[in-house]
Amino acid sequence: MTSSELEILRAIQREGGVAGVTTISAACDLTSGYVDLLCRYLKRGGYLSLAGRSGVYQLTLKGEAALRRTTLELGRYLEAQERNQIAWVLDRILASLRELERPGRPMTRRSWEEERITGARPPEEIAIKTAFIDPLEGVDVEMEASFDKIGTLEETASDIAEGVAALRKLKAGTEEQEE
Amino acid sequence: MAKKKAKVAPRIEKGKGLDVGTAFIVCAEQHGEKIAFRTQRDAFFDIEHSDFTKQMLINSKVNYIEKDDSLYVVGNEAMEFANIFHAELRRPLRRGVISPSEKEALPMVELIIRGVAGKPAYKGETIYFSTPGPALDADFDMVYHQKTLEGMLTRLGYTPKTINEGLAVVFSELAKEGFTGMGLSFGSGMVNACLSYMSVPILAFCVTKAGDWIDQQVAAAVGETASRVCAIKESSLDLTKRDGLSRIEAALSIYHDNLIEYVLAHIMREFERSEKAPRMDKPIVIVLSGGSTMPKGFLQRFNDVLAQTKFPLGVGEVRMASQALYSVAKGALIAATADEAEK
Repeated sequence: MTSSELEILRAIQREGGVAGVTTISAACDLTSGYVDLLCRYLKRGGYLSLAGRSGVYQLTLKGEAALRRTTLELGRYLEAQERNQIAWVLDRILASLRELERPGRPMTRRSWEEERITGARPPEEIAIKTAFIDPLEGVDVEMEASFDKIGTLEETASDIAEGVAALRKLKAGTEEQEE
Repeated sequence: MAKKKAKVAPRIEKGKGLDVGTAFIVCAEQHGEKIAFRTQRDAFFDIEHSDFTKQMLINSKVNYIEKDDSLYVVGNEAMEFANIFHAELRRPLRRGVISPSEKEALPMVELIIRGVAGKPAYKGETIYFSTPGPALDADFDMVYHQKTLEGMLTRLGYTPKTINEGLAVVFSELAKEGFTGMGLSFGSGMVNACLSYMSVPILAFCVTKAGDWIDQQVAAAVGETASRVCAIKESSLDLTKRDGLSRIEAALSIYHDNLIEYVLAHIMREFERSEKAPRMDKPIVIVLSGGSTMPKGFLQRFNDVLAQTKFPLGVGEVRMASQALYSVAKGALIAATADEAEK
């Protein structure tokens, strides 16, 4: 169950076990469309049922049980989260200290700029292009661009030979049948 | 002493595959024993024109276009600029197709395509480009989209041919299954589905709820910007988790369920409506591809939702495409290479 779904169950509980979508959305600070969607999922899961008219939901026994259970679980989860976060921060501090202790090796941080220059984009000379054709009118348009070939390049081992052969075989078969 | 061998450039095979998507344009071509994928973000951002700005862009090696006293930053850098200026990125394609109302954006599409595809190996080289299937939940001009792209590629010197986006996934991933099965491409503007029997598309369509729709819904639900939601989705979303999620993650999780349900519901509806509902002797394989399948746990989530539906065909396996971001371009490349081999 997500935190938003739990919030909805809690909001309904606060309203005495029955609440409309508008009340719930105001209590949870979520849009009514989203709350309605979540309520439908909760109804499907058996946590809510319709309270007579559409858009008004009530907690079921399963919903109440889920709330009791998750309050306990949430406590345990938050404790664990706190422990994890402390461990994570300590890890980073220790890693930075180790890095600083190494002689002659400055700390490095990969920035977007570095990645752009060293990895993703091939180092190509800028060529100013001036001739372009309007794709609709088919006439030259006054335009200037700073690039010729753009985009990130990635190469992988080719595995298309089997596919190409199979497709050619199928095509040949179809053509024979047509003849 | 052994002589150093001169480096030989890999032979570039004939035929190219082009995936024209709402978020990215990808071109695939074969370089010797490798496939080279060149990708560019399908976006631009206009900034105020001045000699200083222009010089700054040149010095920073940022891809730009100058047109009618306007400067446009194109591609990946456009996103950086949009974030700096807290403004929306402009996209030449909306919900998977070129919009006739965005005439200004057309030169951008041509430039990006020219940038990723480059010149043809010879005049008339075959290039297959992806096109969406008929949209079930929207009305748009497919002919305009297709003809515009054909015109652009012809002017570049190619012989353009179209391939359905879902079928391209089948070509890329289901060769061992004799190109029989279902390809699903979850892009940012739309989801394309194609059921193929021995490379022949039996059922092909698209729906226009996809990755962007998730971002917008979540942003509206929790009062955040779509770009921040998108950043969280792309960097840290884990769909295997249902508990301990932040508000944004929880909303992302719900709307992923909702999108998968929506797609499966439309597949089932199409089967019901179809007069020639296909019968398959064996359970089929479903392949998932596209940028919106990238969050961890998407496959499991798809299987969970599928298990709750009465899918009209036996499903033997659901698997992720080997390269989810590139499978459409790769499938188009297979079609192009097969065509070139016949010449």
